[in-house]
Amino acid sequence: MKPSEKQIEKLERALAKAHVLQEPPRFSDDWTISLMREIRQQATDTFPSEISHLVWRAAAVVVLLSALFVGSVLSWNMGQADAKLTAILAEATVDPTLLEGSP
Amino acid sequence: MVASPPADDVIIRRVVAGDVDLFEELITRYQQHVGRIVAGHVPREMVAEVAHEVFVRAYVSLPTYSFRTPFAHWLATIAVRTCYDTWRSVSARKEVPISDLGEKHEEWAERLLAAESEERFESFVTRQETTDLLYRALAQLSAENRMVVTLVHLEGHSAREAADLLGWSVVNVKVRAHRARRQLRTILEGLLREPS
Repeated sequence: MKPSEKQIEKLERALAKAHVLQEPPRFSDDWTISLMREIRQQATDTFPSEISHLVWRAAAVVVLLSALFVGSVLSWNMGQADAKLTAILAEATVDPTLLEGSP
Repeated sequence: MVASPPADDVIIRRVVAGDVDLFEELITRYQQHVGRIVAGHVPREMVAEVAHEVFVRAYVSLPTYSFRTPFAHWLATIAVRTCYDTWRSVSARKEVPISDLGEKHEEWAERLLAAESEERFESFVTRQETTDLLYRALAQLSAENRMVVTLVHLEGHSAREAADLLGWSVVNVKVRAHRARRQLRTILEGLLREPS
């Protein structure tokens, strides 16, 4: 036989009341000691946030300096290459004998 | 003159700055609060383990605490989400078929429904069978539905509050609350149905 709506509601009300009436648990001292042991372990396993912030900032500065260094090396190399090319071209234009041998 | 104990925000700032031992003061202040929330979502034998996990997560997340909401509320959010994660990880193992409910519980349900006066009703509510039945009925639900039923239907939180605690949208909570309640009622119906 299908239970009535009223019966279901009564059972629901009983369960809700039982849920609210539950006594909060009491934790033992051992529980706190074990918890604090894990917290201390966590603290040693991970960097404090201030140190990790410093590490990130230092990393950002290093990346920036590296980029500047690579940029300056590249531009210096380009300058060197330009100078060599200019010298070769200048030599080619200054030395007319290069053209003299041609028929 | 006795110095008043430091406020939560003072302790939190000192813990974040590296004074780890002060976290014990937060545990002392909030273990009842966390214990009450956790006990509402997981069986008694799992409460200590889950509450432990809640405080560990709170410690790890402490640098992200913004001081905009009360610490108790922030901790409640972590506690509810830890319970949800616990159910997600154990839901497959925790499924209890309705046929597992013994004759004792069927008898109890019949007597409860026959109780005419409020006093008699209350005397049934405080019995262990009620809590057993509650957990067995909730164990039939998915982790999501279980959390919503507990927060909205058993504890009386609004959909917005439940959404805030779970980190879900209000619409999602409302839809789930409706479906989950219907599912719970079907489970209870199964229990009350007379054996053929």
